[in-house]
Amino acid sequence: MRISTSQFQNESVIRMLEQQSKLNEVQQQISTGKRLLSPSDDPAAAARILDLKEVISINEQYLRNTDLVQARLETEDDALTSIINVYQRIRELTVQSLNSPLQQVDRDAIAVELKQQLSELTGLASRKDVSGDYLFSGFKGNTNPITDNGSGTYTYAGDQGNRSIQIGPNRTIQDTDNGYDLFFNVPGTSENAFSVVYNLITNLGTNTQTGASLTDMDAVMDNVIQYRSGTGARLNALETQTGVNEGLVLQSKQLLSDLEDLDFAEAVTELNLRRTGLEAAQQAYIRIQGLSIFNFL
Amino acid sequence: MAELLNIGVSGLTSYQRALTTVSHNITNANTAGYTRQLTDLAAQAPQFTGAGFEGTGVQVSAIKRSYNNFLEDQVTRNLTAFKQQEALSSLSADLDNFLADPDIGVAPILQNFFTSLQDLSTDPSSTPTRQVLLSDANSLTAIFNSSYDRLQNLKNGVNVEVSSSVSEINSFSKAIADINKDILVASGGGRFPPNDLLDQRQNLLNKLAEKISVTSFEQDDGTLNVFVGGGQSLVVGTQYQALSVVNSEYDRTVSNIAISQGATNIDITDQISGGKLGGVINFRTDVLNPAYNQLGRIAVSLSGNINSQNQLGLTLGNTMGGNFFTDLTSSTSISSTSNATATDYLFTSTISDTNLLKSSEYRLDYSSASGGTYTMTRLSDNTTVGTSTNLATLSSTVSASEGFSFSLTSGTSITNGDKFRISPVVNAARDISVSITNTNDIATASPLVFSGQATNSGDVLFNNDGLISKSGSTIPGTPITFTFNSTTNVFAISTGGTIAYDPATDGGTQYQLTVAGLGSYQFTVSGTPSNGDVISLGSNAGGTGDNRNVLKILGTQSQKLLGGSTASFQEAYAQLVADVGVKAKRAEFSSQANQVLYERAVASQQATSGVNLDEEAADLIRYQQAYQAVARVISTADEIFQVLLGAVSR
Repeated sequence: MRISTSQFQNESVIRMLEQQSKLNEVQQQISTGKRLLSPSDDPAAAARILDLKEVISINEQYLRNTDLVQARLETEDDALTSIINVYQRIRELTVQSLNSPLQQVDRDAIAVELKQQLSELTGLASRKDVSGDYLFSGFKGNTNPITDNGSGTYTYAGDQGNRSIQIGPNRTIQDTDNGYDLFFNVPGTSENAFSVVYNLITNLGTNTQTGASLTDMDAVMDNVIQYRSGTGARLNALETQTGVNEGLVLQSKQLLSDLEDLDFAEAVTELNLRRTGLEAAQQAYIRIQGLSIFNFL
Repeated sequence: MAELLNIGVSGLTSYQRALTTVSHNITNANTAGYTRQLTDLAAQAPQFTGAGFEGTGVQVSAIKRSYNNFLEDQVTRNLTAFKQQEALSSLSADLDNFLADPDIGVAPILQNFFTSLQDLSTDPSSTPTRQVLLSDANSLTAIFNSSYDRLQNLKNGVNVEVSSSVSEINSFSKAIADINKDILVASGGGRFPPNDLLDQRQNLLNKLAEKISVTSFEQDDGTLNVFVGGGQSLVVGTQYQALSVVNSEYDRTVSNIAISQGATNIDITDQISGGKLGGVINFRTDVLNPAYNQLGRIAVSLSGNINSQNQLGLTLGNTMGGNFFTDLTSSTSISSTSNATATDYLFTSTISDTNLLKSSEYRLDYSSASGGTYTMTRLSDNTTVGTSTNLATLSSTVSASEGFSFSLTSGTSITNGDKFRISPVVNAARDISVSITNTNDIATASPLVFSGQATNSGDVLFNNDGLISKSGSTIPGTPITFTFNSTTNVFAISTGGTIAYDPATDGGTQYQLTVAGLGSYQFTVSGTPSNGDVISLGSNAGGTGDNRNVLKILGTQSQKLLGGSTASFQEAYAQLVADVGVKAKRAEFSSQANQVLYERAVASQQATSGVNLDEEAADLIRYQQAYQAVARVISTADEIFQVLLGAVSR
């Protein structure tokens, strides 16, 4: 085919520019480490990347929630263990007050210790979590759950709500138990945990202690033990869910990396190929440009 | 003898001309649009003598262009397609890049917002956490606003391109008309083509084709007629018709293209194709406008769903929640500027179901047939969604399939052929903002809470699912009680009515209770109550640690709340990115393919019409040698004459 001189020139220049732009693309891929330089390079992958980033963000949030719930559950577990220890001591003192032939002095001594244990118990029941909310007042985090009305009447000032925190797509977990269930709504006794102890103290003063106190005390203690085992079970469930969430995050990150990250070995090979291509185009251009009959005229 | 001299002179002048043409070719080797010229040599008419016909020398019969109409046409055609796809591809890629940007796109900011909601769900009473959520909500609306601004910038860019293209097109049309005039004069009888003028005109035609797709026909008198769009004439003979820029009939901020026909200006934007102008118009219609609607629909759905859930919850101030984001449910119609009388007619559209909303604008047409018929057309796919003589009937038809209703708000007279644009979502990304300023107003809690009475001996649990619809904002002062009767297995409700609950079979059943002044409350009952057990449902005022409502707000993240329950907010956004990406990709492929076709067409055209310097050098040598030879003819004639003179003078 006949070819015009300016076309001949243009053609070489266009090919060089083409090689340059391809080289530039590979160079950009290598310097950013990304396979996709713009979403239109692979629209389907770009949309998938957005979805995966959301999945990762949500599951990382679940992991953060899990950490928070764990902290609260551990605080509750800790508080309940202390409460059980207090109950244990109170129970011992109750047994002591019932079994041995005691002088009023001894009963007074027991009463003094019981008073101390009672105040420790109310203190534990009014415990706050790390954010300063009452642990056992249900939804009413700003309200001290235990009101001491004097003369052995205690009322619950919180509510019966139990807060659940999301730790998985369809998985929520209760982060504490309310004080009503723990101390006031005790199966096996009509009394609440505090008045049981208070009554015992009063009875010791008048030497009218009976075996009923022990039955009440056992009911109160069994109730809390049951809730503590619930806490333990939830902590185990948390651990399982953490594993699931971590696995999902890892898997999604792997997928994301497959979609958006560059295969460097492949890219470097491509870079060399493009460089050779450009060099060849440049050399060809220089060689050819000298050719003209006018050189010989 | 004289013949010899005459023949010599004819040769000298002819070869001089031939050499001039070769020089002209050489000097124009790099001139854009230049077509190689050829000197046609022919023997002059012979002279009759007694010995028969005797030659009289050579003459230049014509200086012609090495030109192929078909090839030129191919170049023009491919150039216009290439320029169109190039403009479409670069604008679409620009849009796609900012939509999918990992730092400034909507997607990452949307995730931040939901992450803050999660944080709040773990610690609902914390003011700093609430503050963070509000600030993330503000970032989210700001990113919607700035994305809208980017769309506006692109739209303005299209307007600028339209007006600059139109003025360039006009100057090219004028130049072609002027050259037509010169050609008409220069070609005279039409025997000698004015080569360089023809080249210039072809060059202008290609420049025109870079801007807009044109068709052209050469007339017998040598002038060229040029047409655009649906056959509107741009150049006829020595006259040209200017294009003008007009506002769209519905939107002053949209520049359209019009051509005057007689006294009226006709909007020909829809008929324009090809060239850079065709590309930007394509971009505006097929990429940019859908993006406005898609983005707006996400904003409407996000604000609508989160607002309604926030309204179903209880604030830290112990009142029912209000709007979280601005209310984007209603918008006003725009009357076409072509309407005869009804420019004062205004319709208000109100979103009725965000899940049914389409990413589209609508056109309401009025026809006087059957005493006045209204027709609603969805513009994204040009589908009629309803026709009726009754506006209210049409509104409910539209509402059932398109998720918005509409009604007439003002207007007195309407005329056959009047048109109105209804855009439920198009500006939502611009209008969205955060309504809440006080962190206490985030309704994290549920308004009511269940509690069992201390005297209960059974084991029954009422679980709150929350308020599901709202009729008012009054939280009952006295708790509503449910008292169980184990003989009949029925809970008697203090506000009247009962619910049947058989502990053996009904555990986990959901019930709904209408709470006067508040709305419909949903709850689940499980366990085994004893006779006379009382559960009460009362105000959750002070329930600062309650996160039940914020969990529900959070639930909107994973629910498929758009497009008839097919996409979540995030998925709808990813869809937008993918849509634009696919269009950008398609335009890029098309642009590359058309570029290759254009380059091939140019190569073929250049193979015929381009200047090859080696070839010209050879011609230069050939004509120079011929000239030298002819010069010898003259010197030979001179020598012969001298010989004759010498013989006579002796």
